[in-house]
Amino acid sequence: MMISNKALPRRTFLRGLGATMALPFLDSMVPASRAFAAAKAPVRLGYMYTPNGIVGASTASPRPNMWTPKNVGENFDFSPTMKALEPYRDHLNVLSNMAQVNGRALGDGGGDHARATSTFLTGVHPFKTGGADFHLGISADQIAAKELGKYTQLSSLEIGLEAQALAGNCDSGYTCAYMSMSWRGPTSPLPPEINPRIVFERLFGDGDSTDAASRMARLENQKSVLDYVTGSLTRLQGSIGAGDKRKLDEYLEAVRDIERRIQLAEQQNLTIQLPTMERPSSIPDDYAQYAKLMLDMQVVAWHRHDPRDRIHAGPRRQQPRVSRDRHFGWPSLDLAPSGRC
Amino acid sequence: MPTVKKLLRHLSTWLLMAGVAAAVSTHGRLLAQAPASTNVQSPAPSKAPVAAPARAQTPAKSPALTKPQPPPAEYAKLTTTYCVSCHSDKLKTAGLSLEGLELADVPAHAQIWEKVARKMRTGEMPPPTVRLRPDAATERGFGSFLESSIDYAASVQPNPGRTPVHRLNRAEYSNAVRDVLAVDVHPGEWLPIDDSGYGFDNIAAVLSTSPALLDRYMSAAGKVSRLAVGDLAMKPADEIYESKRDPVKGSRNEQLNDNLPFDSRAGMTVEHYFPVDGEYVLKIRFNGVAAGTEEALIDPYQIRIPMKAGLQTIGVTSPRQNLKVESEGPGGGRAGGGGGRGGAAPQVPTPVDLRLNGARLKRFDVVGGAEINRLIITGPYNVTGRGDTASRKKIFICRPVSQAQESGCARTILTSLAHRAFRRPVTPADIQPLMVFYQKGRTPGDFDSGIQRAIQAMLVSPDFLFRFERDPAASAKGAPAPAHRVTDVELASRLSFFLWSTIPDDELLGLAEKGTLSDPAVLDRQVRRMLDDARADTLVTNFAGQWLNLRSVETQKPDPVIFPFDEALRQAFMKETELFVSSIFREDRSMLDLLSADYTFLNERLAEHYGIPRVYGSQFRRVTLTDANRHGLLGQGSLLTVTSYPNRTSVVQRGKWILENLLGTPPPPPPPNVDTTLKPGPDGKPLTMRETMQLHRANPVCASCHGRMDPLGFALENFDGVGRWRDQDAGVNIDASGKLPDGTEFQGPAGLSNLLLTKYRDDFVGTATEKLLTYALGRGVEYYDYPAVRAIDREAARDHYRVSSVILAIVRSTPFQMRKGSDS
Repeated sequence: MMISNKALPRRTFLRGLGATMALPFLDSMVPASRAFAAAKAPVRLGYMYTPNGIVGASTASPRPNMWTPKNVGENFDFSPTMKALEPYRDHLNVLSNMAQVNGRALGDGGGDHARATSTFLTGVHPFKTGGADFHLGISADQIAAKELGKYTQLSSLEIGLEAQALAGNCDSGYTCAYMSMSWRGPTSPLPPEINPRIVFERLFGDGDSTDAASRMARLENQKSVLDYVTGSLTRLQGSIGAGDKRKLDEYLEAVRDIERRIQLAEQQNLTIQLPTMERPSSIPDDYAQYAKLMLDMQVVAWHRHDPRDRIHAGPRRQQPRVSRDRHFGWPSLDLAPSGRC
Repeated sequence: MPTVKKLLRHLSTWLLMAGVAAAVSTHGRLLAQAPASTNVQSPAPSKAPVAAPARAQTPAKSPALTKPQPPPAEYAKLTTTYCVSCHSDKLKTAGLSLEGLELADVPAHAQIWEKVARKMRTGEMPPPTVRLRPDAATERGFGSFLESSIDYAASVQPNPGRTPVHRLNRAEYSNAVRDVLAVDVHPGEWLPIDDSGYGFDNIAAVLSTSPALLDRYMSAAGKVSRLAVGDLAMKPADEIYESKRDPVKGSRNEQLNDNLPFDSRAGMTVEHYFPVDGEYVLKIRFNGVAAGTEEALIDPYQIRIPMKAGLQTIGVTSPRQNLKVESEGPGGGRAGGGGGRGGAAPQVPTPVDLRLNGARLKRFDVVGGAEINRLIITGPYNVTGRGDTASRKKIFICRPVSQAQESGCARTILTSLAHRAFRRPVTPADIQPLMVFYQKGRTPGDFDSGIQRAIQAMLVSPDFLFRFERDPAASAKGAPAPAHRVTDVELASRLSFFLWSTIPDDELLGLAEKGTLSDPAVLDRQVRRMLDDARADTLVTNFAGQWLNLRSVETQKPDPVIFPFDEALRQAFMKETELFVSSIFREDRSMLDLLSADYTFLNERLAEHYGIPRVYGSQFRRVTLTDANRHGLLGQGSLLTVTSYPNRTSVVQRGKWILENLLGTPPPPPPPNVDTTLKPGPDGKPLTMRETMQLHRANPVCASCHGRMDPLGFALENFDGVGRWRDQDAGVNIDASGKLPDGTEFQGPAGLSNLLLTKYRDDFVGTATEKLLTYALGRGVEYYDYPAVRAIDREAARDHYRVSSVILAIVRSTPFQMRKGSDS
């Protein structure tokens, strides 16, 4: 059993993050042996992003208060674009005046779109370059993933609705790498996965659906392959030199890591009911359908207790696609139209 | 005798340069101080002529060298007189002290003496500015004495070095899967990018394993095994292929590639692996069709057809419009076309053909723009069978006719596959666990699904993913393990991964298992056979592509406003260099031809670009170059673009490329906090490149490195940022002369090539050998390999440095055939 019984003291976590604000009670603070028996639902962390601004976000907008509520306080009026969320009033907060200073030009000239995306979760002003020497910083979701990911099969999941290159010039001299919101380190962007089939496969492997039997079978399969690999490695260790042993130890470590996650998954399988979902075959043509599919998968992933940490990025081009229905009415929340800043 | 003042001044300069020189690599070789003399490395007089190569018993030993004579008296004081003033215990310039180092036992300090010999040979040491130095003959003699002493000791007690356990990289993984299972789907591309070392991505010490990688290996094994065997339970999935579009210009009015008919125009081709026999839907999407519109939902341009399993080529293209000269957007032009849908102007439909392996499946009449956006293949529907693919033929070497026969047949199949995959004879201990997987898959399914499960496990086995070389049985306790020859089976893998980036084929492995591979005559024949084989193309794509840093052409982005650059030109650059390097290897030319060849491969687009007349059509063909400035690699657009900025040439980058890749003397990085932006002229007038770089010459700290980089780049200034010839820069005629710190002068690209081929020929050949050896061994070349490098160069020189002679010499060398014992 690799799971330790040590619970994470709240103060340690706070100190580690250098944060001074109160944090929600995270599941990692419950001793492991009790965690799975706990009836309390674990807390999830997710970031959703739509680019390039939203109509009615500021009072200077030609349509003020389309987005930003007019008043503050407990009984604020939901703005027209946000109306769909009104039933959940008791579960949400709307916070304003959180402009990111490092997203401004600060003397670098053009490139607002790239700066916006890259500073959203990092708070770091990106180094302006179109080449391979990009430099940013670790993003908030990855800081959380490093810690919370110890207890889940997948530490984090980055998905998006528009493809993103890792090289090339994407916005006035900024490389396309800056279109990633999620960064594992200053030079390691994590591009989002946009194909729902591949997201499904990352979550559920080669299985065709999320039902319990199929999941268990897949885990069994993986375990037996790993046992075979461990057996082969043990036999090999006998006939190679010390320096070579280290390389094989690396491989063995990787095996153990995956075995641990399988163990976690098996235990979770016993306690969790997942909504049934078939493996999607590809990206739906209809944009609204596509967005809904990706959001549904997020929900299923969270049902599975993992990953705690998720990023969902809306379209990120300069002119994102908007689904037009015949009446050309106001599109729903997750397809809020972009305004030019 | 220098005065104290002079000495102090010299000292301060040297200390400054030493600070910079400290970062210079130990392989420094440029700046021969002797005037351009004959270029052959003068062998030391005491060396015997090279004996006939390859004796049967110990082919790994270099030819007999006579024991060197004791050092002449003049050498004994050489270092004390000329070197120790800086390289003393007290000063330790560049971290090196030669004080008290006797010549009685040169091999004992081989690492230091090799450095000394190298620096002396190139004239880098003593520094060119120093007046007190030995004469040229003494310098040469001393260098030869050092090298021959070390070479003799190496022949008696070789140090072949030791490559750690070597994981297959992505390319090798793809090729190994292709050769074990006959499935060519490039599964390596599903794996994370490999780290590189020494400029190559096949360096054992750098290739690590992470949980993420293992995860991908496991999922790749599942996918590949299902494709290879065929999975009747496969559910339909989409595969989307996007067409490579030129964002700036449209597609050209010419055939895209050889998979499409000669009279076609543009379009796209894909090689798609159809997993099983069944029905598939092929959909074509065009630009200008917005998602969510009626058209997207109906998808009018599609067909549903039954397909056979296996790799097929799907092409989408239009017939060529012969009246149009060159690239223009598609659409319109078909005489007699009917009116289109609505709108004021009648839309003329464009014919678009969907082709399977060249033959036309269907012709669509596309209205409103026929620029292809993507091809989507969905399926399989209504699976009819596993198919009769090449992989199934290769895997199922027997077929059980009854239940009783199944287990035996499975064992036969798995033994054959494991033998090939593990690259060695297999034992029951190898097969037994695979049989367990076979049972696991057989029980709920059938014979084929059992085999599929076993293959899935085999592809994750460390015996497949790693190359192991075993130490011989432990010798006396406590004694360090001796250097030993690798076994024939291990040698077969070294050969096939070096020359083919894949597993040994049946012939090679067979000879190895019989124990005859190490026979010199057999080895010779096998190497030549392998070089003739199509698989040796990996030497061009993997070795040369990385050595010459040509993979970067893919991602260069020259400014389209300043330069006439487009995708067709990019592809042409890559193709030209690929064909060129390939011709050198395939025609077994001399390595020197890489710089001196008077031909290249051009198509119309590229010929236009270079200003070469009378080359028509999109096919590449060999063209003789009359202008000496275009000869060889230095005249090719790929290299010239990769070493430029998007909006201008870079003298420094070109010089650095030559130093790094051709001469093996990479310059150190610039000191921190150096302002590298270019300043405009005093009154805003644009400056020529030479004028702009003048600070490099004026400031001695800059000049210490730029003095050897910039002149090389200046010689290429006639080639602009995308390789076009130009005579003027900023309104002034270009001055393409170069002068090195030791006084050597040259003019233009032809002059530069000539310089590299004469004065620096040994450096070029030596660098090429070291790079090849690094690639062949999977580890960096160290000081104890230099005797082998020298031996290889001597052997290759006798055959004018032909590619095959260099490669054969490498294969016969000590580090390739032997391995150092383990340290513990």
